[in-house]
Amino acid sequence: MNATTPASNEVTLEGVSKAFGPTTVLQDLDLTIGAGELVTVLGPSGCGKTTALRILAGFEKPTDGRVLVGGRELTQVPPNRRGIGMVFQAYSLFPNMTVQDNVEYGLRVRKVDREKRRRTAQDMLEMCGLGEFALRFPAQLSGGQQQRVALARALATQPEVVLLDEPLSALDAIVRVQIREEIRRLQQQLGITTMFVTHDQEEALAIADRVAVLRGGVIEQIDVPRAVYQNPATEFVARFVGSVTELGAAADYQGGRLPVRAPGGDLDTLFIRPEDLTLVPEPDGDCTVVSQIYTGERTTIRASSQERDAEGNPLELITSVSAAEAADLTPGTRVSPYVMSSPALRVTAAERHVAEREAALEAGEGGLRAAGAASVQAGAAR
Amino acid sequence: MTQAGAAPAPTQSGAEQGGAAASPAQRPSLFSRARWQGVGSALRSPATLSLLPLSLVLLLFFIVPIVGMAIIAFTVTAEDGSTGVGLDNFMALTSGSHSAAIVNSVQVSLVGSTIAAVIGTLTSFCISQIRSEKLDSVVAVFTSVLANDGGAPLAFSFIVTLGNAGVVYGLLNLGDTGFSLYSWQGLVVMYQYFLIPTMIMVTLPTFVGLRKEWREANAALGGSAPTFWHRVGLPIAMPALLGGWILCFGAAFATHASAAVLIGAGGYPLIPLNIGALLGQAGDSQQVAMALGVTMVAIAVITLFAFNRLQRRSARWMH
Repeated sequence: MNATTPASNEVTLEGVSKAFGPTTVLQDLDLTIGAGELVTVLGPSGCGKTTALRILAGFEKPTDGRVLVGGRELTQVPPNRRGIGMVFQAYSLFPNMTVQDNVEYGLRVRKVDREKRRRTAQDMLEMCGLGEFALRFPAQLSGGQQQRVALARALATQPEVVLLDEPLSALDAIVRVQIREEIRRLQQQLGITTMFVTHDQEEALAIADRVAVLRGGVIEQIDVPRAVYQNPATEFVARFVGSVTELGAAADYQGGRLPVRAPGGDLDTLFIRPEDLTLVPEPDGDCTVVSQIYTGERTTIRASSQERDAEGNPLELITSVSAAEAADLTPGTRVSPYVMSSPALRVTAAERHVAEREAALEAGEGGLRAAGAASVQAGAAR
Repeated sequence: MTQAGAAPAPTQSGAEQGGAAASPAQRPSLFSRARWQGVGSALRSPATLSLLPLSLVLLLFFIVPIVGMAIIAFTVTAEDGSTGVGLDNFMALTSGSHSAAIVNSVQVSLVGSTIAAVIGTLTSFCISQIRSEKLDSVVAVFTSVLANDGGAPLAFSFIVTLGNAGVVYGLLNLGDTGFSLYSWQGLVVMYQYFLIPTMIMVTLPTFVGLRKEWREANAALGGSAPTFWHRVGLPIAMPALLGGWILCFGAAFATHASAAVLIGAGGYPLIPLNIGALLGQAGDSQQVAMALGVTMVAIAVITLFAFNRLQRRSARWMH
């Protein structure tokens, strides 16, 4: 629509805070989505990810901070003048209109003439693989088809920014992956700046240029998917994204066979990804294989040890092996863990002590901020 | 749909021929052969037995009385005592008190139901905006009770509040405005007591059912609030609004007891009051009463038919 320079659709949330009554949902959030970039915002329910998206869309007003698109401040601009496309979780199509009329809606509002409207809508529907459904009503479509129409509708006005609020969470697994790939393809093809909110970590990693992990209204880490998985910045990210084994290790431990000990005391805490951990059958091994879960390409092995963590639960180790390797790791086998490459995250005893003290102080203040504050403390306080 | 009566589409399986499984686009019209064949094969199924109790009730309390009423209405007694078929009883409705009753009944019902439709719609819209499930269910219970309220007690409660010696009448000095409860305005006001709840009862679920996502999708696509109501909100709510309005019309139209208590006989003729009066008289007045009754049924059937059409319009996209 508008002739714009490529950088003009960069999206920035600057120092955005949001409180609903006494509950702080977002705290001083800074987030920049580059022009044409897809950023997934990942977090557990209640972490503020949907609120951040709704502030960007204009459906919520931030308590503090600014919203900018292409350098233009939109904080006070109502949603219908922001020109931001949006795809909702489900059931957002207008039920009284055909698919075609739904896709034309934004153009009709913009008073685009009838012929051009028809053509654009047809193009959009073709692009989303829905050409033959133009005259159906939404209720006559499957959930996946409905979300495709919702996407076509959001793209029909050629917005520079598109927001997707858990658009796949109501769909079944196969359709989910299909549409996820379609969204990514269209987004790259059209170069649309995109914010994709999800609670599904696999989805977040698969689709994104960068992943922002949100917790308690604070961004714990924002980085490319590989970095978020392989080098989590905090204990929370290590636990929330992918599987992880947590073990204590002496300060001078540099890899190899790891004696199984619970984190705590003077030990560092290692966060080890399944592919970095090898369980080797040894008659005097510290652990026992508990279960094998066959998932096709890989088999997940769980083992547990006599050692117990601070809460008295047995330590659990997770690794993933090929079917051939799994033959040696039947339940009941005694094994020892070896860490083959550097762990995803290492929290030293000193760092943990500092975090524990901070946590105690914050708890003393009774501040709600405790929930969202710095990284390491939550794991340490557990 | 002009050729809807044609043979079923070749894609349909042989066993299903007859249109029972026809898609909406090729649904046979009311009088097509295909449609009746479908009904026929459905009636041959053993499940038809389950319709028996309902059919019996319909027959005894609906069809028999209507047919009886119609027979009497079309029966003309000559001066020599012999009887024949004719429209004389209906001719008697074209003048005097009875024609006034038909006009009055339609007028009171139309004005009363229109006011109730507007107030009820606004009220249920406001209730839906509060977005409290608890409130919605409380309202559902209260409106369904109030919608069925009426009769003599309602008339008496209006007489003690808005009658010439009524409490509210005195407080507001309604006498100065020329308002009288014992007039057609009085009837309209009294009817609101059960018509507004009827309207709320019918329309609240529709307003509650308008999804937040539709409103937000409208905004994200550049639409203003009026755009939303023009293109999405009202089109979705319209069948329920019109349906509720017609339902109110029917309810007002059929009201007898409260109107009888308030107006009495003769003061302001209405169809139900005139039927009541005629049934108490001797001679061929009973036949005229039945003719009035048939007229009333005809108007009610037309109303319900319109209601049904509107319902079907909404069902087109609400699967």
